[in-house]
Amino acid sequence: MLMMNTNAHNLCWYDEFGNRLEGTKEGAFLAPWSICSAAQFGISDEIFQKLKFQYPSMKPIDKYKMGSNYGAFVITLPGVLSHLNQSRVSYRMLIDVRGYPHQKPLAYVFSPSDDEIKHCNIHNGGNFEIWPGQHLCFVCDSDDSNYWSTLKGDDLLLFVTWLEQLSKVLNNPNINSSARGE
Amino acid sequence: MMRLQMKDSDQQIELVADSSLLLKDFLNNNGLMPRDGSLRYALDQHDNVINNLPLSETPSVMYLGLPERVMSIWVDRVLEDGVQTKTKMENGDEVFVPGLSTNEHYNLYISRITKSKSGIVRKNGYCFRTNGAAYQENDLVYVRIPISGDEISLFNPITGSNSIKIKLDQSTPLSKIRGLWCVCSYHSQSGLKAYLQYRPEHTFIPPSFKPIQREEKQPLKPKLAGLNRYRRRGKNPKPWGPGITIGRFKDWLTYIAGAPPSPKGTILGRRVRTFTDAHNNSAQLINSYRDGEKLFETGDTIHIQMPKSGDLSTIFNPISKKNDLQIKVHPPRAKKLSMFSKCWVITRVCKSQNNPDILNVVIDSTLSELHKSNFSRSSFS
Repeated sequence: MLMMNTNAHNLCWYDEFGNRLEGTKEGAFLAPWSICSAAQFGISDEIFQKLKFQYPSMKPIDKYKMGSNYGAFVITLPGVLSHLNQSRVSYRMLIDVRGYPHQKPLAYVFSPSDDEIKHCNIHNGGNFEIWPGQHLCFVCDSDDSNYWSTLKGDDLLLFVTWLEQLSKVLNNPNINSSARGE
Repeated sequence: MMRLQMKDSDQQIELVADSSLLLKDFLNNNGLMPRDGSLRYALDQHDNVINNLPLSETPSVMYLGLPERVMSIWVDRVLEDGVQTKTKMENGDEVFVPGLSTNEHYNLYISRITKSKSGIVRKNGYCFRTNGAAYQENDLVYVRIPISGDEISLFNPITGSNSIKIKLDQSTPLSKIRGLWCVCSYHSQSGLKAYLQYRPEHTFIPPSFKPIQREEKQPLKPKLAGLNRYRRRGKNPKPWGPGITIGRFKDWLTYIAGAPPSPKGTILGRRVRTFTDAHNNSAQLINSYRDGEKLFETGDTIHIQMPKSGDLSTIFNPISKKNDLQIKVHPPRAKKLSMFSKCWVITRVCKSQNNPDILNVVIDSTLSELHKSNFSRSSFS
Protein backbone atom coordinates (compact mmCIF):
# COMPACT_ATOMS: atom_id res chain seq x y z
CA MET A 1 0.00 0.00 0.00
CA LEU A 2 1.34 3.42 -0.89
CA MET A 3 1.53 5.96 1.90
CA MET A 4 2.23 9.65 1.90
CA ASN A 5 5.43 10.50 3.70
CA THR A 6 4.74 13.11 6.34
CA ASN A 7 8.44 13.93 6.64
CA ALA A 8 10.08 16.68 4.77
CA HIS A 9 10.91 15.88 1.17
CA ASN A 10 14.03 13.77 0.61
CA LEU A 11 14.31 12.78 4.27
CA CYS A 12 13.91 9.16 5.37
CA TRP A 13 14.20 7.20 8.61
CA TYR A 14 17.17 4.83 8.93
CA ASP A 15 18.24 2.33 11.59
CA GLU A 16 21.74 2.18 13.09
CA PHE A 17 22.94 0.03 10.16
CA GLY A 18 21.73 2.48 7.54
CA ASN A 19 18.71 0.40 6.52
CA ARG A 20 15.74 2.40 5.42
CA LEU A 21 12.73 2.14 7.74
CA GLU A 22 9.08 2.37 6.87
CA GLY A 23 8.47 4.35 10.05
CA THR A 24 10.49 5.51 13.00
CA LYS A 25 11.67 3.49 16.00
CA GLU A 26 14.03 3.90 18.89
CA GLY A 27 17.53 4.75 17.73
CA ALA A 28 16.36 5.63 14.23
CA PHE A 29 17.62 8.74 12.62
CA LEU A 30 16.30 10.98 9.95
CA ALA A 31 18.63 11.61 7.05
CA PRO A 32 18.48 12.81 3.50
CA TRP A 33 18.52 9.88 1.01
CA SER A 34 21.60 11.29 -0.70
CA ILE A 35 23.89 10.08 2.08
CA CYS A 36 22.46 6.56 2.22
CA SER A 37 24.70 3.55 1.47
CA ALA A 38 24.77 2.14 -2.09
CA ALA A 39 22.86 -0.90 -0.88
CA GLN A 40 19.85 1.35 -0.43
CA PHE A 41 19.69 2.31 -4.09
CA GLY A 42 18.65 0.50 -7.21
CA ILE A 43 16.60 -2.60 -7.82
CA SER A 44 17.41 -5.69 -5.79
CA ASP A 45 17.95 -8.99 -7.54
CA GLU A 46 14.84 -10.39 -5.86
CA ILE A 47 12.66 -7.65 -7.32
CA PHE A 48 14.41 -7.93 -10.65
CA GLN A 49 13.67 -11.65 -10.90
CA LYS A 50 10.01 -11.06 -9.99
CA LEU A 51 9.71 -8.37 -12.64
CA LYS A 52 11.22 -10.67 -15.26
CA PHE A 53 8.07 -12.79 -15.17
CA GLN A 54 6.07 -9.97 -16.75
CA TYR A 55 9.01 -8.32 -18.51
CA PRO A 56 11.38 -11.04 -19.77
CA SER A 57 13.26 -8.52 -21.94
CA MET A 58 14.74 -6.86 -18.82
CA LYS A 59 18.49 -7.15 -18.77
CA PRO A 60 20.72 -5.49 -16.19
CA ILE A 61 23.73 -3.46 -17.23
CA ASP A 62 26.68 -4.91 -15.37
CA LYS A 63 28.70 -1.73 -15.06
CA TYR A 64 25.89 -0.11 -13.09
CA LYS A 65 25.68 -2.87 -10.53
CA MET A 66 25.67 -1.28 -7.09
CA GLY A 67 26.60 -3.94 -4.54
CA SER A 68 23.93 -6.57 -4.98
CA ASN A 69 21.50 -4.13 -6.58
CA TYR A 70 21.09 -3.11 -10.19
CA GLY A 71 21.45 0.57 -11.11
CA ALA A 72 20.35 0.39 -14.74
CA PHE A 73 18.80 -2.06 -17.09
CA VAL A 74 17.39 -2.29 -20.58
CA ILE A 75 13.85 -3.31 -21.38
CA THR A 76 11.60 -3.48 -24.43
CA LEU A 77 8.16 -1.96 -24.09
CA PRO A 78 5.44 -1.90 -26.71
CA GLY A 79 3.79 1.38 -27.58
CA VAL A 80 2.37 3.32 -30.48
CA LEU A 81 4.16 5.41 -33.08
CA SER A 82 2.33 8.65 -32.36
CA HIS A 83 -1.04 10.14 -31.48
CA LEU A 84 -1.78 10.29 -35.20
CA ASN A 85 -0.48 6.85 -36.10
CA GLN A 86 -1.36 4.00 -33.79
CA SER A 87 1.05 1.51 -35.42
CA ARG A 88 2.71 -0.73 -32.86
CA VAL A 89 6.31 0.08 -32.05
CA SER A 90 8.70 -1.78 -29.74
CA TYR A 91 10.58 0.84 -27.76
CA ARG A 92 13.92 -0.35 -26.51
CA MET A 93 14.65 1.57 -23.39
CA LEU A 94 17.33 2.21 -20.85
CA ILE A 95 15.97 2.58 -17.34
CA ASP A 96 18.11 4.47 -14.84
CA VAL A 97 17.29 3.30 -11.32
CA ARG A 98 20.47 4.47 -9.62
CA GLY A 99 18.43 6.77 -7.39
CA TYR A 100 15.52 4.38 -6.85
CA PRO A 101 13.52 4.23 -4.59
CA HIS A 102 14.40 7.72 -3.35
CA GLN A 103 14.28 9.18 -6.83
CA LYS A 104 11.91 8.36 -9.61
CA PRO A 105 13.42 6.05 -12.26
CA LEU A 106 14.38 7.70 -15.53
CA ALA A 107 13.49 6.21 -18.88
CA TYR A 108 15.39 6.79 -22.15
CA VAL A 109 14.65 5.38 -25.60
CA PHE A 110 17.64 4.27 -27.65
CA SER A 111 15.76 2.40 -30.36
CA PRO A 112 14.05 3.40 -32.64
CA SER A 113 16.43 6.25 -33.39
CA ASP A 114 15.64 9.90 -32.70
CA ASP A 115 14.73 10.47 -36.37
CA GLU A 116 12.21 7.64 -36.36
CA ILE A 117 10.48 8.60 -33.12
CA LYS A 118 7.20 10.45 -33.59
CA HIS A 119 5.79 10.04 -30.08
CA CYS A 120 5.06 13.47 -28.61
CA ASN A 121 6.04 12.48 -25.06
CA ILE A 122 9.53 11.39 -26.00
CA HIS A 123 12.07 14.21 -26.03
CA ASN A 124 14.48 14.87 -28.86
CA GLY A 125 17.74 12.96 -28.59
CA GLY A 126 20.61 14.07 -26.43
CA ASN A 127 23.66 12.85 -24.55
CA PHE A 128 23.30 11.70 -20.98
CA GLU A 129 25.94 10.65 -18.48
CA ILE A 130 24.29 7.23 -18.01
CA TRP A 131 25.48 6.18 -21.46
CA PRO A 132 28.03 8.61 -22.89
CA GLY A 133 28.30 8.54 -26.66
CA GLN A 134 24.86 7.04 -27.17
CA HIS A 135 22.08 9.25 -28.45
CA LEU A 136 19.20 8.80 -26.01
CA CYS A 137 15.68 10.20 -26.00
CA PHE A 138 14.30 10.97 -22.56
CA VAL A 139 10.70 9.90 -21.92
CA CYS A 140 8.40 12.31 -20.12
CA ASP A 141 6.36 9.96 -17.96
CA SER A 142 4.45 12.51 -15.88
CA ASP A 143 3.90 16.23 -15.52
CA ASP A 144 5.02 16.42 -11.93
CA SER A 145 8.08 14.57 -10.66
CA ASN A 146 7.86 16.03 -7.17
CA TYR A 147 5.13 13.60 -6.20
CA TRP A 148 7.65 10.76 -6.10
CA SER A 149 9.32 11.91 -2.90
CA THR A 150 5.94 11.83 -1.21
CA LEU A 151 5.42 8.15 -2.03
CA LYS A 152 6.42 5.40 0.36
CA GLY A 153 5.72 1.71 0.30
CA ASP A 154 6.78 -1.64 -1.04
CA ASP A 155 9.71 -1.28 -3.48
CA LEU A 156 8.26 -3.77 -5.94
CA LEU A 157 4.82 -2.18 -5.91
CA LEU A 158 6.30 1.29 -6.37
CA PHE A 159 8.38 0.15 -9.28
CA VAL A 160 5.60 -1.78 -11.02
CA THR A 161 3.34 1.23 -10.63
CA TRP A 162 5.92 3.43 -12.32
CA LEU A 163 6.52 0.85 -15.09
CA GLU A 164 2.79 0.66 -15.77
CA GLN A 165 2.67 4.44 -15.98
CA LEU A 166 5.55 4.41 -18.47
CA SER A 167 3.75 1.79 -20.53
CA LYS A 168 0.58 3.87 -20.42
CA VAL A 169 2.45 6.91 -21.74
CA LEU A 170 3.99 4.89 -24.59
CA ASN A 171 0.56 3.62 -25.59
CA ASN A 172 -1.37 6.87 -25.07
CA PRO A 173 0.53 9.93 -26.31
CA ASN A 174 -0.55 13.04 -24.45
CA ILE A 175 -0.48 15.96 -26.88
CA ASN A 176 -1.21 18.43 -24.06
CA SER A 177 2.24 17.76 -22.70
CA SER A 178 4.30 17.57 -25.84
CA ALA A 179 8.02 17.11 -25.29
CA ARG A 180 9.17 16.72 -28.85
CA GLY A 181 10.06 19.72 -30.97
CA GLU A 182 9.79 19.26 -34.70
CA MET B 1 -4.31 -29.87 -10.60
CA MET B 2 -1.79 -28.51 -13.06
CA ARG B 3 1.47 -26.77 -12.41
CA LEU B 4 2.94 -24.03 -14.60
CA GLN B 5 6.62 -23.80 -13.84
CA MET B 6 8.82 -21.00 -15.18
CA LYS B 7 11.57 -22.62 -17.20
CA ASP B 8 14.39 -20.35 -16.02
CA SER B 9 13.37 -19.65 -12.42
CA ASP B 10 11.63 -21.25 -9.46
CA GLN B 11 8.43 -19.28 -9.93
CA GLN B 12 5.39 -21.45 -10.43
CA ILE B 13 1.62 -21.29 -10.52
CA GLU B 14 -0.78 -24.08 -9.69
CA LEU B 15 -4.20 -24.18 -11.22
CA VAL B 16 -7.24 -26.36 -11.50
CA ALA B 17 -8.67 -26.11 -14.98
CA ASP B 18 -10.40 -28.65 -17.10
CA SER B 19 -11.97 -27.22 -20.18
CA SER B 20 -11.68 -27.07 -23.93
CA LEU B 21 -10.07 -23.63 -23.67
CA LEU B 22 -6.74 -23.62 -25.48
CA LEU B 23 -3.70 -23.19 -23.31
CA LYS B 24 -2.53 -20.11 -25.25
CA ASP B 25 -5.92 -18.44 -24.67
CA PHE B 26 -5.76 -19.34 -21.01
CA LEU B 27 -2.32 -17.73 -20.70
CA ASN B 28 -3.46 -14.61 -22.54
CA ASN B 29 -6.70 -14.22 -20.62
CA ASN B 30 -5.07 -14.58 -17.24
CA GLY B 31 -2.14 -12.19 -17.50
CA LEU B 32 0.44 -14.95 -17.76
CA MET B 33 1.94 -13.63 -20.97
CA PRO B 34 4.74 -11.03 -20.87
CA ARG B 35 3.74 -7.38 -20.94
CA ASP B 36 6.75 -6.29 -22.94
CA GLY B 37 5.88 -8.17 -26.14
CA SER B 38 8.40 -10.92 -25.41
CA LEU B 39 7.70 -14.46 -26.50
CA ARG B 40 6.52 -17.07 -24.04
CA TYR B 41 5.41 -20.60 -24.81
CA ALA B 42 3.89 -23.38 -22.79
CA LEU B 43 6.16 -26.40 -23.12
CA ASP B 44 5.92 -30.02 -22.09
CA GLN B 45 8.78 -31.86 -20.40
CA HIS B 46 10.31 -32.70 -23.78
CA ASP B 47 10.49 -29.03 -24.77
CA ASN B 48 7.61 -29.30 -27.25
CA VAL B 49 5.38 -26.25 -27.66
CA ILE B 50 1.88 -27.15 -26.44
CA ASN B 51 0.15 -23.76 -26.70
CA ASN B 52 -2.61 -25.19 -28.87
CA LEU B 53 -3.61 -28.00 -26.53
CA PRO B 54 -6.94 -27.69 -24.73
CA LEU B 55 -6.58 -27.42 -20.97
CA SER B 56 -8.21 -30.79 -20.49
CA GLU B 57 -5.38 -32.48 -22.41
CA THR B 58 -2.36 -30.72 -20.96
CA PRO B 59 0.20 -32.57 -18.84
CA SER B 60 0.17 -32.03 -15.08
CA VAL B 61 3.49 -30.17 -15.19
CA MET B 62 4.13 -27.58 -17.87
CA TYR B 63 6.89 -25.09 -18.34
CA LEU B 64 6.64 -21.46 -19.36
CA GLY B 65 9.51 -20.04 -21.34
CA LEU B 66 11.28 -20.52 -24.62
CA PRO B 67 12.23 -23.78 -26.33
CA GLU B 68 15.92 -24.60 -26.22
CA ARG B 69 16.44 -23.42 -29.78
CA VAL B 70 14.72 -20.08 -29.31
CA MET B 71 16.59 -17.26 -27.62
CA SER B 72 15.83 -13.70 -26.69
CA ILE B 73 19.11 -11.90 -26.22
CA TRP B 74 20.57 -8.50 -25.69
CA VAL B 75 23.71 -8.01 -27.75
CA ASP B 76 26.21 -5.70 -26.08
CA ARG B 77 29.14 -6.61 -28.29
CA VAL B 78 29.58 -8.04 -31.72
CA LEU B 79 32.70 -9.81 -32.90
CA GLU B 80 33.52 -10.24 -36.54
CA ASP B 81 34.43 -13.79 -37.40
CA GLY B 82 35.18 -14.18 -41.07
CA VAL B 83 32.00 -13.62 -42.99
CA GLN B 84 29.84 -14.01 -39.90
CA THR B 85 28.98 -11.89 -36.89
CA LYS B 86 28.94 -13.44 -33.45
CA THR B 87 28.41 -12.56 -29.83
CA LYS B 88 29.37 -14.31 -26.63
CA MET B 89 26.90 -15.39 -24.02
CA GLU B 90 27.53 -15.14 -20.29
CA ASN B 91 28.04 -18.92 -20.09
CA GLY B 92 30.75 -18.76 -22.78
CA ASP B 93 28.61 -20.06 -25.65
CA GLU B 94 29.26 -18.37 -28.98
CA VAL B 95 26.24 -17.29 -30.98
CA PHE B 96 26.78 -16.80 -34.71
CA VAL B 97 23.98 -14.87 -36.35
CA PRO B 98 24.18 -12.97 -39.65
CA GLY B 99 23.61 -9.23 -39.40
CA LEU B 100 24.07 -8.69 -35.65
CA SER B 101 24.77 -5.21 -34.32
CA THR B 102 25.57 -3.96 -30.84
CA ASN B 103 23.09 -2.66 -28.28
CA GLU B 104 20.19 -4.40 -29.90
CA HIS B 105 17.70 -6.91 -28.63
CA TYR B 106 17.14 -9.97 -30.82
CA ASN B 107 14.80 -12.91 -30.97
CA LEU B 108 16.81 -15.79 -32.38
CA TYR B 109 16.17 -19.25 -33.69
CA ILE B 110 19.18 -21.54 -33.33
CA SER B 111 19.28 -23.76 -36.38
CA ARG B 112 22.55 -25.51 -35.63
CA ILE B 113 24.47 -26.37 -32.46
CA THR B 114 28.05 -27.63 -32.63
CA LYS B 115 30.97 -27.92 -30.26
CA SER B 116 34.46 -26.70 -31.08
CA LYS B 117 37.56 -28.77 -30.36
CA SER B 118 38.16 -26.62 -27.29
CA GLY B 119 34.71 -27.48 -25.96
CA ILE B 120 33.01 -24.16 -26.72
CA VAL B 121 29.38 -24.51 -27.75
CA ARG B 122 28.68 -22.77 -31.04
CA LYS B 123 25.16 -21.83 -31.87
CA ASN B 124 24.33 -20.73 -35.40
CA GLY B 125 20.98 -19.20 -36.10
CA TYR B 126 18.96 -16.32 -37.40
CA CYS B 127 16.74 -13.50 -36.16
CA PHE B 128 13.00 -13.35 -36.50
CA ARG B 129 10.50 -10.62 -35.73
CA THR B 130 7.60 -10.72 -33.33
CA ASN B 131 5.87 -7.57 -34.61
CA GLY B 132 4.01 -8.33 -37.83
CA ALA B 133 5.59 -10.70 -40.34
CA ALA B 134 8.31 -12.89 -38.85
CA TYR B 135 10.59 -12.23 -41.82
CA GLN B 136 10.88 -9.23 -44.06
CA GLU B 137 12.65 -8.30 -47.28
CA ASN B 138 16.41 -8.98 -47.13
CA ASP B 139 16.37 -10.59 -43.67
CA LEU B 140 19.21 -13.09 -43.42
CA VAL B 141 18.65 -16.66 -42.23
CA TYR B 142 21.10 -19.47 -41.52
CA VAL B 143 19.74 -22.72 -42.89
CA ARG B 144 20.84 -26.01 -44.39
CA ILE B 145 20.28 -26.60 -48.07
CA PRO B 146 18.03 -29.68 -48.28
CA ILE B 147 19.46 -32.94 -49.58
CA SER B 148 16.49 -33.34 -51.85
CA GLY B 149 13.91 -30.85 -53.08
CA ASP B 150 14.16 -27.08 -52.77
CA GLU B 151 12.00 -26.33 -49.74
CA ILE B 152 13.25 -25.03 -46.40
CA SER B 153 11.34 -24.65 -43.12
CA LEU B 154 11.75 -21.44 -41.12
CA PHE B 155 10.79 -20.85 -37.51
CA ASN B 156 7.30 -19.47 -36.98
CA PRO B 157 7.04 -17.49 -33.71
CA ILE B 158 3.26 -17.90 -33.69
CA THR B 159 3.26 -21.69 -33.67
CA GLY B 160 6.65 -22.10 -31.99
CA SER B 161 7.70 -24.60 -34.64
CA ASN B 162 9.40 -24.60 -38.04
CA SER B 163 6.15 -24.28 -39.92
CA ILE B 164 6.99 -21.60 -42.51
CA LYS B 165 7.75 -23.50 -45.71
CA ILE B 166 9.67 -21.53 -48.28
CA LYS B 167 11.36 -22.39 -51.54
CA LEU B 168 14.85 -21.52 -52.66
CA ASP B 169 15.31 -19.16 -55.57
CA GLN B 170 15.30 -21.05 -58.87
CA SER B 171 18.75 -19.74 -59.75
CA THR B 172 20.31 -21.45 -56.71
CA PRO B 173 23.02 -23.92 -57.81
CA LEU B 174 21.43 -26.65 -55.69
CA SER B 175 23.57 -29.56 -56.90
CA LYS B 176 26.73 -27.74 -55.77
CA ILE B 177 25.55 -26.85 -52.26
CA ARG B 178 23.26 -29.66 -51.16
CA GLY B 179 23.78 -30.25 -47.44
CA LEU B 180 25.65 -26.95 -46.92
CA TRP B 181 24.87 -24.79 -43.90
CA CYS B 182 24.64 -21.35 -45.41
CA VAL B 183 23.18 -17.87 -45.20
CA CYS B 184 20.18 -17.04 -47.37
CA SER B 185 18.26 -13.81 -47.72
CA TYR B 186 14.49 -13.66 -47.49
CA HIS B 187 12.55 -12.02 -50.30
CA SER B 188 8.87 -11.35 -50.48
CA GLN B 189 7.76 -9.16 -53.32
CA SER B 190 4.14 -8.19 -53.40
CA GLY B 191 2.05 -10.56 -55.43
CA LEU B 192 4.77 -13.20 -55.54
CA LYS B 193 5.46 -16.12 -53.26
CA ALA B 194 8.29 -15.53 -50.78
CA TYR B 195 11.58 -17.23 -51.57
CA LEU B 196 15.11 -17.58 -50.18
CA GLN B 197 18.23 -16.61 -52.04
CA TYR B 198 21.60 -18.23 -51.32
CA ARG B 199 24.16 -15.62 -50.19
CA PRO B 200 27.68 -16.99 -50.74
CA GLU B 201 29.26 -13.70 -49.58
CA HIS B 202 27.91 -14.35 -46.05
CA THR B 203 28.57 -18.09 -46.06
CA PHE B 204 31.60 -19.93 -44.77
CA ILE B 205 32.19 -22.96 -46.98
CA PRO B 206 34.44 -25.52 -45.26
CA PRO B 207 37.37 -26.47 -47.52
CA SER B 208 36.40 -30.13 -47.20
CA PHE B 209 32.77 -29.54 -48.13
CA LYS B 210 31.33 -31.81 -50.77
CA PRO B 211 27.71 -31.53 -51.83
CA ILE B 212 25.59 -34.45 -50.78
CA GLN B 213 24.33 -36.28 -53.81
CA ARG B 214 21.34 -38.43 -53.20
CA GLU B 215 19.49 -40.00 -56.05
CA GLU B 216 15.84 -39.25 -56.19
CA LYS B 217 13.95 -42.04 -54.52
CA GLN B 218 12.36 -44.31 -57.05
CA PRO B 219 8.88 -45.42 -56.15
CA LEU B 220 9.03 -48.94 -54.80
CA LYS B 221 8.16 -51.49 -57.42
CA PRO B 222 6.07 -54.29 -55.96
CA LYS B 223 7.52 -57.79 -56.22
CA LEU B 224 5.20 -59.88 -58.31
CA ALA B 225 4.80 -63.62 -57.88
CA GLY B 226 2.48 -66.33 -59.13
CA LEU B 227 2.43 -64.92 -62.66
CA ASN B 228 3.64 -66.56 -65.87
CA ARG B 229 5.50 -64.97 -68.67
CA TYR B 230 3.74 -66.01 -71.88
CA ARG B 231 5.58 -65.91 -75.20
CA ARG B 232 3.79 -65.69 -78.52
CA ARG B 233 4.04 -68.43 -81.09
CA GLY B 234 3.75 -67.37 -84.74
CA LYS B 235 2.21 -64.05 -85.59
CA ASN B 236 2.16 -61.14 -83.24
CA PRO B 237 -0.95 -60.83 -81.13
CA LYS B 238 -3.43 -58.32 -82.51
CA PRO B 239 -6.22 -56.25 -81.04
CA TRP B 240 -9.51 -58.01 -80.84
CA GLY B 241 -11.48 -55.14 -79.47
CA PRO B 242 -10.51 -52.02 -77.59
CA GLY B 243 -8.45 -53.23 -74.62
CA ILE B 244 -8.32 -56.95 -75.54
CA THR B 245 -5.54 -58.63 -77.54
CA ILE B 246 -5.84 -61.99 -79.25
CA GLY B 247 -2.90 -64.23 -80.17
CA ARG B 248 -1.49 -67.76 -79.97
CA PHE B 249 0.49 -68.69 -76.91
CA LYS B 250 1.60 -72.35 -76.66
CA ASP B 251 -1.11 -73.60 -79.03
CA TRP B 252 -3.75 -71.78 -77.08
CA LEU B 253 -5.88 -69.12 -78.65
CA THR B 254 -5.49 -66.48 -76.00
CA TYR B 255 -7.69 -63.52 -75.13
CA ILE B 256 -5.52 -61.15 -73.14
CA ALA B 257 -7.04 -58.47 -70.93
CA GLY B 258 -5.05 -55.78 -69.18
CA ALA B 259 -1.60 -54.61 -70.21
CA PRO B 260 -0.92 -55.26 -73.93
CA PRO B 261 1.94 -57.63 -74.90
CA SER B 262 5.44 -56.20 -75.09
CA PRO B 263 6.88 -55.45 -78.57
CA LYS B 264 8.52 -58.88 -78.42
CA GLY B 265 5.10 -60.43 -77.85
CA THR B 266 5.45 -61.49 -74.22
CA ILE B 267 3.01 -60.86 -71.42
CA LEU B 268 3.13 -61.24 -67.68
CA GLY B 269 -0.17 -62.63 -66.56
CA ARG B 270 -2.32 -65.32 -65.04
CA ARG B 271 -4.66 -67.67 -66.76
CA VAL B 272 -8.16 -67.36 -65.37
CA ARG B 273 -10.11 -69.73 -67.59
CA THR B 274 -9.76 -72.35 -70.37
CA PHE B 275 -12.48 -73.38 -72.76
CA THR B 276 -13.20 -74.47 -76.31
CA ASP B 277 -14.46 -71.68 -78.48
CA ALA B 278 -17.12 -71.65 -81.20
CA HIS B 279 -14.60 -72.92 -83.81
CA ASN B 280 -13.38 -75.77 -81.63
CA ASN B 281 -10.18 -74.00 -80.69
CA SER B 282 -8.61 -74.53 -77.30
CA ALA B 283 -8.78 -71.07 -75.87
CA GLN B 284 -7.75 -69.37 -72.66
CA LEU B 285 -8.42 -66.07 -70.91
CA ILE B 286 -5.45 -64.33 -69.38
CA ASN B 287 -5.38 -61.27 -67.18
CA SER B 288 -2.17 -59.42 -67.87
CA TYR B 289 -0.60 -57.34 -65.07
CA ARG B 290 1.67 -54.33 -65.36
CA ASP B 291 5.16 -54.89 -63.98
CA GLY B 292 5.49 -51.44 -62.35
CA GLU B 293 4.27 -49.33 -59.49
CA LYS B 294 0.65 -50.11 -60.33
CA LEU B 295 -0.78 -53.45 -61.41
CA PHE B 296 -3.52 -51.80 -63.46
CA GLU B 297 -4.05 -48.40 -64.98
CA THR B 298 -7.24 -46.53 -65.73
CA GLY B 299 -8.97 -48.12 -68.74
CA ASP B 300 -7.19 -51.50 -68.46
CA THR B 301 -9.47 -54.48 -69.07
CA ILE B 302 -9.87 -57.44 -66.69
CA HIS B 303 -11.64 -60.78 -67.16
CA ILE B 304 -13.89 -61.36 -64.19
CA GLN B 305 -16.47 -63.95 -63.30
CA MET B 306 -19.31 -62.16 -61.62
CA PRO B 307 -20.47 -63.34 -58.23
CA LYS B 308 -23.92 -64.81 -57.77
CA SER B 309 -25.04 -61.69 -56.01
CA GLY B 310 -23.55 -58.39 -54.94
CA ASP B 311 -20.94 -56.27 -56.64
CA LEU B 312 -17.74 -57.54 -55.04
CA SER B 313 -15.42 -60.05 -56.69
CA THR B 314 -11.81 -61.05 -56.27
CA ILE B 315 -8.97 -61.82 -58.66
CA PHE B 316 -5.44 -63.06 -58.17
CA ASN B 317 -3.13 -60.65 -56.36
CA PRO B 318 0.50 -61.17 -57.46
CA ILE B 319 1.78 -59.18 -54.45
CA SER B 320 0.14 -61.32 -51.77
CA LYS B 321 0.14 -64.41 -54.03
CA LYS B 322 -3.49 -64.98 -53.08
CA ASN B 323 -6.82 -64.59 -54.74
CA ASP B 324 -7.57 -61.53 -52.63
CA LEU B 325 -7.45 -58.50 -54.93
CA GLN B 326 -10.88 -57.04 -54.23
CA ILE B 327 -12.85 -55.72 -57.15
CA LYS B 328 -16.00 -53.68 -56.98
CA VAL B 329 -17.96 -54.09 -60.20
CA HIS B 330 -20.20 -51.33 -61.47
CA PRO B 331 -22.89 -52.12 -64.08
CA PRO B 332 -22.76 -50.53 -67.53
CA ARG B 333 -25.15 -47.66 -68.25
CA ALA B 334 -28.84 -48.61 -68.26
CA LYS B 335 -28.20 -52.18 -67.15
CA LYS B 336 -28.53 -53.93 -63.85
CA LEU B 337 -25.72 -55.84 -62.25
CA SER B 338 -27.99 -58.79 -61.60
CA MET B 339 -28.13 -59.43 -65.39
CA PHE B 340 -24.49 -60.54 -65.23
CA SER B 341 -24.78 -62.86 -62.27
CA LYS B 342 -22.17 -65.69 -62.44
CA CYS B 343 -21.17 -64.60 -66.00
CA TRP B 344 -17.67 -64.04 -67.30
CA VAL B 345 -17.42 -60.38 -68.26
CA ILE B 346 -14.80 -57.92 -69.41
CA THR B 347 -14.47 -54.93 -67.17
CA ARG B 348 -12.50 -51.72 -67.34
CA VAL B 349 -10.62 -50.04 -64.48
CA CYS B 350 -12.41 -46.82 -63.48
CA LYS B 351 -10.68 -43.47 -63.15
CA SER B 352 -12.20 -42.87 -59.75
CA GLN B 353 -10.51 -45.04 -57.11
CA ASN B 354 -11.51 -43.81 -53.67
CA ASN B 355 -10.46 -46.87 -51.67
CA PRO B 356 -6.88 -48.12 -52.08
CA ASP B 357 -7.94 -51.63 -51.05
CA ILE B 358 -10.73 -52.05 -53.60
CA LEU B 359 -10.35 -51.68 -57.35
CA ASN B 360 -13.36 -50.05 -59.01
CA VAL B 361 -14.22 -51.48 -62.42
CA VAL B 362 -17.14 -51.10 -64.78
CA ILE B 363 -18.47 -53.81 -67.10
CA ASP B 364 -17.71 -53.15 -70.78
CA SER B 365 -20.95 -54.45 -72.26
CA THR B 366 -19.78 -54.40 -75.91
CA LEU B 367 -16.68 -56.46 -75.20
CA SER B 368 -18.61 -58.78 -72.98
CA GLU B 369 -21.13 -59.38 -75.79
CA LEU B 370 -18.26 -60.21 -78.18
CA HIS B 371 -17.05 -62.69 -75.64
CA LYS B 372 -20.45 -64.24 -75.52
CA SER B 373 -20.74 -64.69 -79.26
CA ASN B 374 -17.27 -66.28 -79.54
CA PHE B 375 -17.60 -68.70 -76.67
CA SER B 376 -20.55 -70.76 -77.76
CA ARG B 377 -19.63 -73.63 -75.52
CA SER B 378 -18.77 -71.44 -72.67
CA SER B 379 -20.87 -71.05 -69.61
CA PHE B 380 -22.22 -67.67 -70.52
CA SER B 381 -25.79 -67.54 -69.52
